[in-house]
Amino acid sequence: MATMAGPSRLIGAPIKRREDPRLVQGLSHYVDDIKLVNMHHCTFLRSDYAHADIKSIDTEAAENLSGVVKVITGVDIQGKVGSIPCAAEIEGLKVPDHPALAVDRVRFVGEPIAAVVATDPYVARDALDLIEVEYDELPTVVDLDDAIESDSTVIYDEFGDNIAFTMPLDAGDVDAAFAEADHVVSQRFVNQRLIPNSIEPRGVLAEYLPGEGTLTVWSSTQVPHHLKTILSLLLDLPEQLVRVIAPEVGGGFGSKLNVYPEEAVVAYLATELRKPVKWIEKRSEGFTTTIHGRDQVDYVDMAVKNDGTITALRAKLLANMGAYHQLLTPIIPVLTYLMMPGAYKISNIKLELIGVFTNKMATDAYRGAGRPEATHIIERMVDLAAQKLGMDPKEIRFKNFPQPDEFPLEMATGVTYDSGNYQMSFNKALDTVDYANLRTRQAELRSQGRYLGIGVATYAEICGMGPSVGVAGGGWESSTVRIERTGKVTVLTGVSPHGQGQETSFAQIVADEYGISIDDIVVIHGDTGRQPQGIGTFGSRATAVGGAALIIATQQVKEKMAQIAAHMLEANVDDLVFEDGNIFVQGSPDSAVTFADVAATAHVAVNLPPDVEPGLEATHFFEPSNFTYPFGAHISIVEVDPETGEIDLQRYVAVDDCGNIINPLLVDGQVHGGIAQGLGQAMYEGAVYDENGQLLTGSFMDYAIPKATQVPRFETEHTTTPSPVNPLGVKGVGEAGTIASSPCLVNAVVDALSPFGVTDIDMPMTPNRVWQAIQDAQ
Amino acid sequence: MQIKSDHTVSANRERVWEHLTDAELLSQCIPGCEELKATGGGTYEATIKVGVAGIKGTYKGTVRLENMQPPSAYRLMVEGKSTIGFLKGACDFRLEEAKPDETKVGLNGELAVGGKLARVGQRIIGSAAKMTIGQFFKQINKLAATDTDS
Repeated sequence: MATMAGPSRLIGAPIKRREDPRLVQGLSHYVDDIKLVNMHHCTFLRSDYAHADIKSIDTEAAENLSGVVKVITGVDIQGKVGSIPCAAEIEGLKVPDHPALAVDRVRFVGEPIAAVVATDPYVARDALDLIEVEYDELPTVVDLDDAIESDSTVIYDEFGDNIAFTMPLDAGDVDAAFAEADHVVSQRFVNQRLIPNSIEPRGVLAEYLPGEGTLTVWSSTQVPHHLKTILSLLLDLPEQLVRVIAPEVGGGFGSKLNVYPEEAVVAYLATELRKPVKWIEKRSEGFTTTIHGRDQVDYVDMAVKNDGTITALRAKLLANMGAYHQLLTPIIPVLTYLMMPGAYKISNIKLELIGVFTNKMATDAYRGAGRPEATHIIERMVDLAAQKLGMDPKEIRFKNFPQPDEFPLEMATGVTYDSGNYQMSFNKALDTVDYANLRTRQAELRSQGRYLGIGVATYAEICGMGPSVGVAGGGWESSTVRIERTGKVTVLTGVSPHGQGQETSFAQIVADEYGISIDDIVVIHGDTGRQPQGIGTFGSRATAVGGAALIIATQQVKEKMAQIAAHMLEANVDDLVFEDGNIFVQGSPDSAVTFADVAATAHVAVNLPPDVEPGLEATHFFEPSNFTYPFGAHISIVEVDPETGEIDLQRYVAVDDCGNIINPLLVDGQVHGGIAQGLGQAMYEGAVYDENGQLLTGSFMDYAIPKATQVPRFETEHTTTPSPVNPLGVKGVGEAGTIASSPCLVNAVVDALSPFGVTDIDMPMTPNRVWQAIQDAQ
Repeated sequence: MQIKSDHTVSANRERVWEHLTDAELLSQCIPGCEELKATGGGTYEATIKVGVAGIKGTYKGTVRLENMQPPSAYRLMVEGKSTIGFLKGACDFRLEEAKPDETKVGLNGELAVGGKLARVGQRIIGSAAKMTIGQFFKQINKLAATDTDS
């Protein structure tokens, strides 16, 4: 089929999100809005201890409370609910048994021990207070450096130590590069633990129909298809009788890219009791028992030449797994490992990545997932090297960027960057802020005793997850396009958007291809009963993989429509144009058939060309050939008050290259949210446990996420370097803002304080820490 | 969490010692104490109501007095649990005669809390503990001084 596409009207257009009217009017349905007849309510008793043996659990008083239907403990479900799975495949990875309810030992504060089902949610809550648990306290392991010492308490006796895995890399000749270096810079970084805090907490509702043998689970999840498969395995139910629905999901940021004990237990209780059972996470449960992000301690050395050439990188990365592996826990720091060179050509790299068990909640994917850590390391190290060489941070970056014609570029860590033009995005950012003048102004202000800081981060990241060989559980995606008898179009996608806006952008893609109104297209997602195959939304993959599957399915149906239309018009397929709801021969719009007429013809099926089947539907499974590698340059301008340590963030410019853009409003929205979360890490957030493994930052009183007044007005710009690995040429932009912004802000503050001799500040850069850094440097 | 404070009681050291180690008098002085029952060997079973930062719970547990060196020093061990978590502490009490009929009591100890109280109340547990101890000594002072007068 030749040129059939009408003029592109919608791809690239700033169409307002079609999701928003229902969201802002309160017309959405989240899990907790779904109420079933005879619905029962579940609550979980959780460990107050970070590490203890369970001596006894007495549930009698709870069982006797009026309204309580069932109380179960770990022993009750042994052999009935399987171990919570980890999908990571890493050589030598130690995977501990992860019972949905602890059996004889608890390993972190918040670990579920018992579940109560009652007719009323408040009775279910009250019953928890009546359960008596006797513990034998054990010594706790909370500090990463201490956990790997040979005399540390061991969390899993069977493993002998707290090391979950080690992953080495020795590429090039690192020792020689260090021996020949003009300068070596070294730094220890703490990438602090974060708590995702999606606005909608987790929640599960399960209903089992014994007659049909069907289990339906509504869950606030990013991965309904994975959840369906895993629940069928955990509960030993036939997969085809399990349906998972992700209704409106109020944010996830990776924290709902998982299968949690509560999902398994609630589904089990529904099948066991033959009654609908619901559990809605309390915010305090969300703090302690929804996965956390980050938590690395990194020891890094960089070898540089006098001219700024980076010749080698050497690092020991300690990554905190927490007490158990959740779905992808060990994979997250592997992304740090893979992206260590960032946007720079560094051929000699030696790494040792160590995953470490501690008595804390499991870490897993949180917006950026491993790449913010990598970007923080490399962007800080580059600035440290520039500082040591007396070089402008701009110059050292240009010195080490690969050239645009070097892509696809194989990196020393084994990944191949798909496309890039780092000079272009960086130049755009420098021009936007008028960099040269800024430096002049900085010097003037310094002479007046004012401390302006200019922070630069030029990042490259890995997303569009990805080829199946590199994504645990599969990296493909599937989309279905069905044209109904009336000419309305149903798009069914395996991705599971929860704020990303694909109900809008996917409709734009289809509307353009068919030359029809976006209002004639509905995008359905998040229901394994309607879209039986899919992987989900995470790793900035939905458009790069799901959108790619969609455009191919869309074109397959279009090809069939063109055959039918050609038959109706007695014209040649290759001459047809789809435009404004009509299909006609190029140049003859007056003798057109309507899109709806062709749809009806396909369904009525009495006037079809020979060998054409009735109906208009196609499903495509898209398997990308590689990940995508977005890049860009962020620049922030801060002024620091050295007396109080306060940071005044005056300007934030983000130039992101995420390949082709389907909808610039959605892209900017993603960048805004991403920067806000990166800024949260840089300046406010941090999960703190005490030496006994108690989470001290267990509420919003003690865990600071940025408020609207604490984020600046974002200035967003883009360059466009299409990705060659998918037909849309898109890369993904869900995480870029988070990945670039925390090092960008730390670089700005360190730049502001360089006259005091400050070289690094740990995040979050609270006024106290900033002030202390100034005192320590003097 | 560290506990360290000094208090003055207007009574002689023997009398203060008596008040600090007598179950009946203690139960009158510990804020929120609902029950304190001697079980022998310097050990008491206690039920104490605690409320911090809107989090309220009734702790059941044991109070034990150790290293008794009357009338100058002892160690107080506390262990309890409630629906809002557990607490566990050890505190050295040192009694010094400051003036006739005035005794200085120095406290030095550690308190660990777990569960909901730790998660939500930790930030103000320090000041809450300080306030509770202050109330305790105010009450001890009242009782001991009254006794002296009579």
